[in-house]
Amino acid sequence: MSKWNCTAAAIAAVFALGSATVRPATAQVPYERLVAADSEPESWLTYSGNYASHRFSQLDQINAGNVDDLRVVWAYQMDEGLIETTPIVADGVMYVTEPPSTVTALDARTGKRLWKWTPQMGSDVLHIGFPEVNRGVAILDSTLYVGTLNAHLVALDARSGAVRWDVEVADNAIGFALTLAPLALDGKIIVGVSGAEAGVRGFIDAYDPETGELLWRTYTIPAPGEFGSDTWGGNSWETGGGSTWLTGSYDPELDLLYWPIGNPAPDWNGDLRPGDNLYTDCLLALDPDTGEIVWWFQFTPHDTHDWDANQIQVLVDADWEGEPRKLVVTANRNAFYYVLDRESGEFLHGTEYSKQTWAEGLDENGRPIVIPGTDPTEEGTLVWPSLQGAANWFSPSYSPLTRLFYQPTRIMGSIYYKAEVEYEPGQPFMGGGEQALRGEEASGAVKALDVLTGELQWEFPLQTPPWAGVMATAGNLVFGGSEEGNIFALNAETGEPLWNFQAGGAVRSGPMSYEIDGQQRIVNSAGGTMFVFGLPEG
Amino acid sequence: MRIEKSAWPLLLPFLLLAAPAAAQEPGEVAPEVDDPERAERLYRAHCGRCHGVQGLGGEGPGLAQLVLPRVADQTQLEGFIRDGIPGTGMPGVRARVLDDDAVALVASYVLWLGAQTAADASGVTGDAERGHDLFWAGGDCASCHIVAGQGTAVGPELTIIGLRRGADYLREALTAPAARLPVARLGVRSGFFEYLPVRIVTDSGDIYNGMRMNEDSFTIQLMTLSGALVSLDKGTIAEMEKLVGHSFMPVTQGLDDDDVEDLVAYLTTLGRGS
Ligand code: HEC
Ligand code: HEC
Repeated sequence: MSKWNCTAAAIAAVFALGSATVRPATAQVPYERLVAADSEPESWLTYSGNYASHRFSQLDQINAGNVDDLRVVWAYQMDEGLIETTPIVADGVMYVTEPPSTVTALDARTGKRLWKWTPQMGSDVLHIGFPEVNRGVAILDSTLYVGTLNAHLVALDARSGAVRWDVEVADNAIGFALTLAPLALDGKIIVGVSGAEAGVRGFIDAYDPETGELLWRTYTIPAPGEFGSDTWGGNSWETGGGSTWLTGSYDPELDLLYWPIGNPAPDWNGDLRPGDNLYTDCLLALDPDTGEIVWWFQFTPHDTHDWDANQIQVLVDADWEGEPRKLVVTANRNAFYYVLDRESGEFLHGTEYSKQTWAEGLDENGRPIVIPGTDPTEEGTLVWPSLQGAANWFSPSYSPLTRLFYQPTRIMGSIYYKAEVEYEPGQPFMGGGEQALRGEEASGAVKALDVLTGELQWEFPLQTPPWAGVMATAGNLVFGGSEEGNIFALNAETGEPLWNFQAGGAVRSGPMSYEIDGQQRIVNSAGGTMFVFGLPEG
Repeated sequence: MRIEKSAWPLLLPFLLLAAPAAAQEPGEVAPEVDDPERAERLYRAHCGRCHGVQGLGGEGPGLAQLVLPRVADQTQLEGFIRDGIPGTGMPGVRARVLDDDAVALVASYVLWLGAQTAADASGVTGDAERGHDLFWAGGDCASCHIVAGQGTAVGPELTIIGLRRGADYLREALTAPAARLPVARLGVRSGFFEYLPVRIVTDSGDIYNGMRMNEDSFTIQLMTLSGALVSLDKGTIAEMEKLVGHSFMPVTQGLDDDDVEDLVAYLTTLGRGS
C-alpha cells in the first residue's frame, strides 16, 4: 500500500520537472456543458462546436497578426481511408474517428494514443453511393456515441473505449449505414441514416443514452394516409430515400431539433416517383421529446439531381426588418442560400450563391422556379451545379463577430444522365448518373456571405471544387482546406490569405480548435494524417 | 440487325471507299447489335467525344477498326467500358450511368463499327517509314519528345501514342498544336490542361515563361523549355497570364502535307508494332 503511494509520488515528481498536466481521470460532459459550449472555448464538445452549428472558435491567441508563425505541434496518422472527421476535445482528451468507423482517444497535449476501438464488421459491409467514412463522435457524461458503417449505434466508455451497449439502427444488407456524428441532447442520442442510393426509406432516431433503447423514430417519407403521402405516386414511397446522414442543430430555448433530409430515390429518374416527394430535400423541425414534425420546408421539390439538403443548418439570432428574430440559415446543395424563421419555418429570403442553371429563382414561398429541360436524359443534360452540388456535407462557419457566413463552394457543372432502374434490395437504385465538368471548366471558392442577405462580401478562389469545411475564429481568421493539399487561414473580414501549409494530401474534413496548457491549437486533416498546429512557445 | 445508313451521312463516303476491305473473313459472324438506335445514342453520349462520333478517334484512339490491339473479345471490351484502362486517359463508366445491359449494347456496337470498317479506318494514308526518318532527323521531334527511351522530354512521351490517340488528333497536334493541349485524366489535376504555357512577371520584375506543372491557391510550378523548375508564391506575382490557346510545340515548319501524313502514319504505329 505505502509502497504504491511512494512510487506514484515519485512519478509525479519526475513529471513535475517537465510540463506535466493532470486532468480528471475521464471526461464528464453532462448536458449542461453541451448547452453552454460557448462558455468553454478550450473544449470542442460537439461536431459543429455548438448546438447552433456555428463552427466558430472564440479562441483568439492565434490571430491575424501571428498566424504566419503556425507550425505542426503533433500529427496523428490514421487507418487507411478518407478522413472526414471532426474531433471532439474534452478535459484534455481528443476523441476522433478513423475510417471506416474506428474511435480513438488521444492525449490532446501530445497526440499519444490512449485507446482505440474498432467495430467488428465483415468485409461485405454495404456503402452504396458514398465512401467508407465517419464524421465523428458525440459525447454525453462519460460516454461516447459512434455510428458505424454497418448501421449500428455504439456507446463507448470514454475512459477505456469499452463497449457499454451496441444497437443495430437498421439493416445494412438493404443499404443502411451511419456516417454522421450523432447529436447528444438532454437524455437522448439522435442519429440519422445513409442509404438513399439503395432506395431505403429514411428516418431519424432518438436513443436512450443509458440503455440504447429506441425512444422514437420519425420516417422522412410518409406512409399512405400520413400527411404528404400524396406527394408520392404509387408505391414509390416505399423506396423513396430521404436519408438523414448529416448531424442536425438544436435550439434549447425553443426546444426544437433541426434536421436536414436527403434526396429522393431513385436519384436521377423522377418518372418513377411523380410528385413533390416530401420530405426529401427538406429541413425538418422536430420536437426532440416525441420526434413529431413541427414544421418543414422543402428546398428542391421533386429533385432529379441528387441535391440532398444534408448541409449544416446554422442557427442565428438577428434583427430581421427591425424585429429580433430566430433564424436558421443554410447554403443548399442546389446553389441557393436560404433564410428561414426557425420558430415557424417561414421562408424569409433566398438567393443564388453559386453558379446554377436549373432555376430562374425562388418564388415568394421559396419554391424554385424550375427551368424546363433541366432534367437528366439518356443523352445527358448539362446543368450547374453538379451532382455534388454547390455545397455538400462539409461545414460552413458563422462568425458572430463579422456576421458573415463562410461557405466552401463548388463551382462545377455536370452532364446528368437518366437510366432505367428497378428496385432490388441492397443494390444501387439511382436511375442514371453524371459526368462532371472538370479542370479549367470547374473551380471552387471560400465565399463570405452576408448572413442575412446572402450577398457576397468576398471570396477566396480555390483551384478545384473543395470537399473541406471551414472554421472562423475570434482571432479574425477563417481556416480551411483544399483538394490540392493546402491547409490555410484567411482574414475573416477581407478574405486575404494569411497562412498556408502544404499538407501533401487532399483536405476532406472540417477544422476545429481547442486549448491545452494555455496554448491554442488548430486541427485539420489531409490525406491520411491529422495535423495539430500551434504557435511556437516562449 | 440493321443500322439506318441515313443516320450516318458523314460515314457514307468513307464506307464506300472502304468497301472492299470491310469484308468479313469467311466464316466469321457479323456482330449483332440488339437495339441499334439506342446503341448509337449511348455510344455518342459516352464515347463519342473522345473516340469520335464515327469511331475514327480523337483524344482516344480510333475504335472503328477490325482489330482493336488490346481487345481480345466482347467480354474484355465490356470490362474496359465498365472499368476504363487504369492509369490511362480511358475512364470507366460507372454502373449507375450504364448498367450491364447497356454496357453490352455499347460493346456490341463498337465491334459492329469495326466490322463495317476497313483496316485503315483510322484514316492513315502516309508512309510510316518515311515518317520515322522525319521524326528522328529533319523534323527535330526528338529534341522535345521521348520515344522508347530516346529523346528529350519537353513535351509528352510518345512511346505508345498510336494506342492513345486517333489520326485526326495527331494531325491536328502537328498542324495546329495550340488548338488543343493534352488534358490530364488522373489525380487532382484531372481535367486540367497539361503543358499550359504561362507567363509570369514577379513583383521584383523578373519574367518567367514556362509550362505549368502544378498549381494551388498559393503557389505555382513551371517548367521552362530548358527544363528549369520555377516555383513561385502567388503573393510575389505581379502579373500572371495563362496562355490558353498557345503551345510550346512549334508548328511543323518546312514540313508539307505529305510529311505530316507520313509523321501521322509513323506515330500511329507507336505502341502497336508496325
Ligand atoms: C475521356 C475520354 C474517353 C472516353 C469518354 C472514352 N474513352 Fe476509350 N480511350 C480513351 C483513351 C485516351 C484511350 C487510350 C488509353 C491509353 O492511353 O492507353 C482509350 C482506349 C480505349 C480502348 C482500347 C483500344 C485498344 O484496344 O487499344 C477501347 C476499346 C475504348 N477506349 C473504348 C471506349 C468506349 C466503348 C467508350 C464509351 C463507353 C470510351 N472508350 C470512352 C479515352 C476515352
Ligand atoms: C520545342 C519542343 C517541341 C518540338 C520540337 C516538338 N514538339 Fe511535339 N509537343 C511539344 C509540347 C510542349 C507538346 C504538348 C502541348 C501540345 O500538345 O501542344 C507537344 C505535343 C505533341 C503531340 C501531342 C501529344 C498528345 O498526346 O497530345 C504530338 C503527337 C507531338 N507533339 C508530335 C511532335 C512531332 C511529330 C514533332 C516533330 C515534327 C514534334 N512534336 C516536335 C513540344 C515539341
